[in-house]
Amino acid sequence: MTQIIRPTQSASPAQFDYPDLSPSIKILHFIQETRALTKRLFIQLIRRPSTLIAGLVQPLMWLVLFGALFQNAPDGFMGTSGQYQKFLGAGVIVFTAFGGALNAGLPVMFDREFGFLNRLLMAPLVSRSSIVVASAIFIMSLSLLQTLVIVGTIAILGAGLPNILGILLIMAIVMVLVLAVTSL
Amino acid sequence: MSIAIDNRHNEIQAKTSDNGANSNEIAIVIQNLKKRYGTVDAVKNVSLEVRSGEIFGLLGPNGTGKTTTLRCLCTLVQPDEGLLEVYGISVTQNPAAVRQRLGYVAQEVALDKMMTGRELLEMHSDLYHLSKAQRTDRIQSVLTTLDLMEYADRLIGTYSGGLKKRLDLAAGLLHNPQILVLDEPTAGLDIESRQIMWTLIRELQQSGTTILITSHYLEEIDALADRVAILDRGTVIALGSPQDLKKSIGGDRVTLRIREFTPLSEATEVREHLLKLDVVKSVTLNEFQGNSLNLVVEAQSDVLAQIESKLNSLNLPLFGISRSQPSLEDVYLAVTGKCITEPLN
Repeated sequence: MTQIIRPTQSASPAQFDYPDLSPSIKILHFIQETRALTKRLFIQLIRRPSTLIAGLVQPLMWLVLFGALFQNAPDGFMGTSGQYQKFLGAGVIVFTAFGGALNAGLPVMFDREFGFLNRLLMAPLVSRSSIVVASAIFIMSLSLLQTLVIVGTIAILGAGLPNILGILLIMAIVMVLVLAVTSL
Repeated sequence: MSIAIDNRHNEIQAKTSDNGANSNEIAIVIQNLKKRYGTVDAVKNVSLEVRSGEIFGLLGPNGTGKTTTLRCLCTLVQPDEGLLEVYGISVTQNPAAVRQRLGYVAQEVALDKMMTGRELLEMHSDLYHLSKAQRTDRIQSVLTTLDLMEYADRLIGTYSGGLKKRLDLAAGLLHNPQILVLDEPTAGLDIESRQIMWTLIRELQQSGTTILITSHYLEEIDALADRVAILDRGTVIALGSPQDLKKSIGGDRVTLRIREFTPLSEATEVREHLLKLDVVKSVTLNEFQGNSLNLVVEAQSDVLAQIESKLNSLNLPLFGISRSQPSLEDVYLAVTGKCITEPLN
């Protein structure tokens, strides 16, 4: 151990070593890792459909059971638009999006508990925020799905379908809300 | 991040000017590493160097800082003090470049039981930014090496312990790391899975991978490692090749069991008698092996006969006696002083 030679490279250094990371490659890598992590969350969701079903049934329960409680509130008590279902639908959508976003950190916490997160942190991620971004994308899609189901249900209950623009507006609001709460 | 780029660039240039593997090359440098958790000194002072292409074993009782040392090296934990370098790259200053070169397989498997083996490997290869072609190629290769092909498309939740461990290792090998860090890779494995691990570790070494391994199976480290360091309470207390370490403690070893579980008083008494024999250099009492007696004896041929006749004359039974050259376990016991209690005086 007389001499230490450095910097050095041993036999066949990782052929996947990139000599130069241009910003565009970085972005590509970021997309690649985020996509991989998001895909994992969706695989979990599909293989464990009870989570999905619970997520869809819960807002409907709010809507139907909880909603019934206040159905007989005096006219004009809840805004002036008049129609109770419309008022209630908006409330439940926000409610659901909020709840979902609050739980967005849950998968990361579980990963930490089971040592999986360490594995992710050992990978040469371009940015570790991809872990959080993946989680946000996942929750956002889930919330959008829930929103669609709620909108559909209140339509059946008598509020009528909003037009395309209305739906897009609702979606945009939900997405912003989820992102804002998730980033907490 | 820009530092990382520059550094990589320099290395590529350095490589082109200096090709040809140097056996004296240092892969890992750890100097005066210290890490405290609250009031506990997990690692007090660890210094060691791992040469490129060797298998380096890290031994020591539980809780002596082996895993903490590895976690510091693998950029998962920030050390309090000390120098850590991987191929000349500082672990603390340039963790991204280090991660690219290291494969770390932790003690507990890090798998997702809702995915299939192949899906997990695909995810990991995306995290290492392999291209599509590389991805297919590497997954195929690691699945073959670890004999996992037939299980690749089953859910990880249905895997046995050995399969999980192998898949975990496969994930660590995906990016062809220059240095592989294995924290107890064979703990809890059956003989077949262990055999696969051993073969693989040897093959990886042949192909130029440097391997840092911890294990509780001393005969495993003895068989695999080129050099070992023994840790105790956060410091390195012995370092060298297994052969040198064994030579350094000298003499032959005899393990003597009077009964399967000998009463302490009887064992102590026998110890006194045996110490009177000229060929016996020392006798220690191993409480953790049913009060067996571990003797260090002269390397003479009639030692066993002498001991047996001594026991005969004392009218004592003999459950088992065996003689061997010093093993790594003897070294371990000699330097740590653990697991052996000196007889009460």
